[in-house]
Amino acid sequence: MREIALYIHVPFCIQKCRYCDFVSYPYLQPESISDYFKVLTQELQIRTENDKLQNVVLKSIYFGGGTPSLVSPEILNDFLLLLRQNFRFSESIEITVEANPGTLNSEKIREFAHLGVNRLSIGIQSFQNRFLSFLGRAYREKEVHNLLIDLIDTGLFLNWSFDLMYGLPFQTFSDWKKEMEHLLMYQPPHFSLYNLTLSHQVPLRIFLKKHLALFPGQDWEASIYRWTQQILRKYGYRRYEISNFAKPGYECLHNLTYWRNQEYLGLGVSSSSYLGGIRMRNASTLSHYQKRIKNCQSPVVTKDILNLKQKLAEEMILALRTSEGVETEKLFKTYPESLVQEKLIQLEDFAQSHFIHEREGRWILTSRGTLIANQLFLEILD
Amino acid sequence: MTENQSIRNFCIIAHIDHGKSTLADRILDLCHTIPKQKMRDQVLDRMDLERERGITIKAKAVRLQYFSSQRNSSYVFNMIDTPGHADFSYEVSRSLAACEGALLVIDATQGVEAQTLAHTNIALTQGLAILPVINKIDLPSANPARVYEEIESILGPDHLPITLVSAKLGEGVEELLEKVIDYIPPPQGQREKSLKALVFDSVYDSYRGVLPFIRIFEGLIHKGFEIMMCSNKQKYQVIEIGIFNPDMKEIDSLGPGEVGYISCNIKAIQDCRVGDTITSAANPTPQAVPGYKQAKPMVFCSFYPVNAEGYEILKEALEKLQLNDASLMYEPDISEALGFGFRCGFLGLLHMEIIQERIEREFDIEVVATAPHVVYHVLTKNEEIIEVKSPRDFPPAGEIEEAEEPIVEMKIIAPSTAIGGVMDLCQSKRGVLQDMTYLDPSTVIIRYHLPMAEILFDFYNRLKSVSRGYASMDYEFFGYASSNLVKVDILVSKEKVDGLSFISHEENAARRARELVTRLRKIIPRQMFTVTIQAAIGGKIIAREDVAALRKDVLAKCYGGDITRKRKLLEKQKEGKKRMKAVGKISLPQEAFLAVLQTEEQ
Repeated sequence: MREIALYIHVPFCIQKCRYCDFVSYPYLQPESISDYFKVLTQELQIRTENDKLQNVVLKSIYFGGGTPSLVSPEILNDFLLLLRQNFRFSESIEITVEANPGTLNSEKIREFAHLGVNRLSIGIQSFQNRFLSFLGRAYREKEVHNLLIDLIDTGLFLNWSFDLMYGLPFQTFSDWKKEMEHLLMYQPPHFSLYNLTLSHQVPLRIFLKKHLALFPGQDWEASIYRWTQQILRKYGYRRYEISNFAKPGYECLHNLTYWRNQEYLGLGVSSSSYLGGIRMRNASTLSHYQKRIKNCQSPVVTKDILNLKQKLAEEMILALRTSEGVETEKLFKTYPESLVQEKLIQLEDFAQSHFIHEREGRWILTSRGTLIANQLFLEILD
Repeated sequence: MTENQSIRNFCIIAHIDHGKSTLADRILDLCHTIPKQKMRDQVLDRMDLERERGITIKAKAVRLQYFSSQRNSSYVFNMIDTPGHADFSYEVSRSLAACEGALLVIDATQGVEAQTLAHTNIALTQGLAILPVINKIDLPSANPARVYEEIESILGPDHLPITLVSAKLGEGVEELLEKVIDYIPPPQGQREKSLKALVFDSVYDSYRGVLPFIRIFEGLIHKGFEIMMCSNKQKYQVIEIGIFNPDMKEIDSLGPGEVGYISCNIKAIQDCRVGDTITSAANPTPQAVPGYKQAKPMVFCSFYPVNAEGYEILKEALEKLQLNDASLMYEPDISEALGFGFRCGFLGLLHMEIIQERIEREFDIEVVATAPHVVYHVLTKNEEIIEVKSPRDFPPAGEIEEAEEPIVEMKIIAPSTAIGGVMDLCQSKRGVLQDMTYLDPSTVIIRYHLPMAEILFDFYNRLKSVSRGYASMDYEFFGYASSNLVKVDILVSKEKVDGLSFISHEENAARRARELVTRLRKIIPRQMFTVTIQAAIGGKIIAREDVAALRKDVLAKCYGGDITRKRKLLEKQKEGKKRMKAVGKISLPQEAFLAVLQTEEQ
C-alpha cells in the first residue's frame, strides 16, 4: 500500500513577522480563508487525478502556514471530511495544525480535537516580550502562557510541540536560560529549536544592517546548543533531527517523512511535493495559484527531476539530519554500487575527523559534525 | 624656410601650477597665432587629462610669428613644451636638446621646487641659455625678493636678467619676448651639410602612422627625400613635411634651426624613438645627436579588467596607448586572484597613474591595478643574472650570490624647519644622506639615495605631512645596489601558496609578514579545520596567525518540506566555495591573493 504524507499550506497571518520570507498574506476577513479552502478542494481533485493518488493511504496531515489556527472548525471539518472521502487514513494517522498564540482559545482547542486533529504545533519563538516585539510577532508573553495553560487544561492533546529561536541579536546567555526555564516548566512532548536565519529581502535584515546590531555569533550559538542539549537529555528529550527534540514516541511522523526521503503531497500556494521521485513546487503567489486552479490547471510550476547521483546525495543529506542516520545497506539496495562506494569514501573521510561515526551499519553525525553539518553536506553534494 | 638669425628655439621649465601654460597662452596671444575665438585656455595641453591635472604629459611644439615693434622686424619662435615630471626626465632632456634656451618660470609665492631644479640642471648641462622668469607677481603673497635669492643660488651670480611677469594679466610678457631675442642665441647649422635632425617627440596618426616631431640641426629636408634613422638604419621616404601652427600645417621644406613634423609611413613607434637622429639615407651625417637611449621601465604593476569581458578592451587600450608612448611596456599576466591581465612597465609612478587613468577614461573599462613594484637583479652562484619581476622569479636563498635593488637619487626641497622630519622619513625608508645645501636661509635642498621600492608606497604623502605640505621632491634613477633581499613565503596549513609570496628587504620582512598574515586572518573564512597562516623565510617561520575552526554552520528548519530550496541554498554556498582556491583541505578566497597584491594598509 502506497503511504504518503499530506501538507496543506494556509498562507494567512494577522501580521507578517519581520524575519519571515515565507508566502503569506494578511488575514483580512473570514471569507479569504473560506475562499481559499474552496480552491484547495479543487486542487485536491486536480492533483489526485494528475499525480494518480486515487489509492494512497495518508499517514499524516499537516496544516502549516501562515497561521492555520485562524481556520474555523467548520471549514477544517469540511476539508477533513473531503479528505476522508478521497483517501484512506492510516490507523495511526497524525493530524497536525500549526497555531500561533492569540489565535486559539480553549473552545477552539476542544473543537479541533473533536475533528480528529491530534497534534498541535505552536509557534512561540520566545517567552520574552522584547524579543517578540523585535521579531514582529503579533502576540506577547501573556498570550503565550494563556494558550499553553488552555492547552494543558483541556487535556485533549497529548502530542504537542512548540518552536523556540536562539541566536537572536542582543540575546545573552541569561536570556536563553529564561527561555529554557519556561520550556522546562511546560515540558512539551516535542519541540523545535532553531536559530534565526535571515534571507536578503526581509525587513529585519535591513533593520539590523542599518542599526549595526550584532548577532551573538557562531561560537556563542555552538556553546548554547551544546549546553541546551545536555540539559534536555536529563529531562528525557532526544534530539532526533538537527533542530527537533522529542520525548520517546513523540517524534513528528510528518517531518520524518521528509528526512526519510519518502513521498508527500503539498497542497496550496507555494507548497512542495515529492511524488514518484520528482520534487515539485506550486505557484508561489496567491493570484497565480488561484488562476491556475480556476483554469483547471495543475498549480505545479516547477518540477525537479533528479538524476541518481543527485538523488543519492539528497537522500544522504536528509538522513544525516536525523539520529537514524544513513543506512549503508539501504543505499546499496537503491543505488548503483559505484555511486554508493564513492560516497562511503567521503563518509569515512568525515569519520577520520570525528564529524561522523558508524554504528551498526548506520552513519550518524557526531555532535561536532551536527554543528557544522552544512559543510559536510556541501561535500556530499559534490 | 627661415633664416637662422630670425629663429629662436626655447622651452619653458616650470613646476606644476607655477603658470607655465598660462604664460604660453599669453605668448601665443602676443604672436597672434591663434584667432581669438579659437583660443582655449592652455592651448598646449591637448588631452583632457592634462587639462584636469594641470600637467603636461607629452612634449608639444608650436611655431610662433613674433613681430618686434622695437626692432621693426619679424621672428620665428619655436616654443617646445616639456613634460613636468621626473618620470619623463629623458623626454625632458630630449626636448631641451632641441632648444637653444629655456625660460625658467618660478612662482613668486612658492619659490623653487625640486622638480624645477632637476630640469634646470639638465638645461645647464646641455649649455642652454636660461632666462629666469618670476611669475604671479600680481598676487598679494608674492615674494619676489626671496625667489631672486633662490635663482641666484641655482644659476650663480652671472645669470641672465630676471623678468617679473604676471602671465594672468599679461604684464611683462612682451618684455620677456624681447629678452628671448636678445639673450637666447639663434640656432647654428648649415643647410649645405648632410641632414641631422633630432626626434624630440612623436604622435601616432591612424592614417599616416608615426609622425616624428623633429628639430633640424644641419641640412635640409623636403618632400620625397629619403631619410634614415641613425639607431636602426631604417630608411623611409618623406611624404609630408609640416609645422605646428599650432595645428599641423603642411609646408615644402625645413632647414637648420627649424622645428616641425614629417610623415614617412613609419608603422610602429618602436621604430622611431624619442632621441633618435634622422639623417639622409644617401649621405648620412657622421655624428648623430648625442644622448639617445631607450627609456627603460622602472616601475611595474599589473592591470586586470574588473570584468572578464574587459580583457579584450584592455588589450586594445594598451596597444593603442603604446602607439604614442614608446616607454610603455606590457605583457600578458595571469593571477590566481584576478584572472587574466597584463603586467606593465612604466617610467615611474606618475606615468603609471596616467596610463591607468587613460585606460579607464578613454576606453571606458574599470581596471584593478596591483601594487607597484620594482625589478630586482639577482646574481646566482652559477653567475647567471636574473631579472626578478615577480616573486616567482626569485631563486631560493641558497642559489643567490648577490641581490640588487634599484636606487634613486632623491632631491627634496623643504623649509629648514622640516629638516628633522624629512631626515627621519628618509632614514626610515633606508635612505643614505648625500648632502644638504641651503637655497636661501629658510629653504634647504636635501639629497638622499633611497631604494626605489621604498618610495613606491606613501613616500610622497608622508613627505608632505612631515613638511606641512611645503616640501617638494624629485628623483631619478641612480643605479642598482647590493641589498639584503629575502623572499617571504606564506604557508596556509603548512602548504606554501605561490600567489602569496613577496620580496622584501630583510629589515622590513618581519613587519610586512605580520601585517599580511593578520590581514589574511581577517579575510580567510572559518572552515571545518583550524587554518594556520604562517610567513616564512626559507625554513624559518617569522609570523603566524590561526583562523579558528568553524563551530557552527547548519540550516535549521525545513518549512513545509521544501527540500529543493534547501538544496539550492547549499548549492549556492557550494558555488561560493568553488570560486575559492583549494589548498589541501582549505579554501582560500580571491581577496586573500588581492591582499598581497595591493598596497599595504597603514
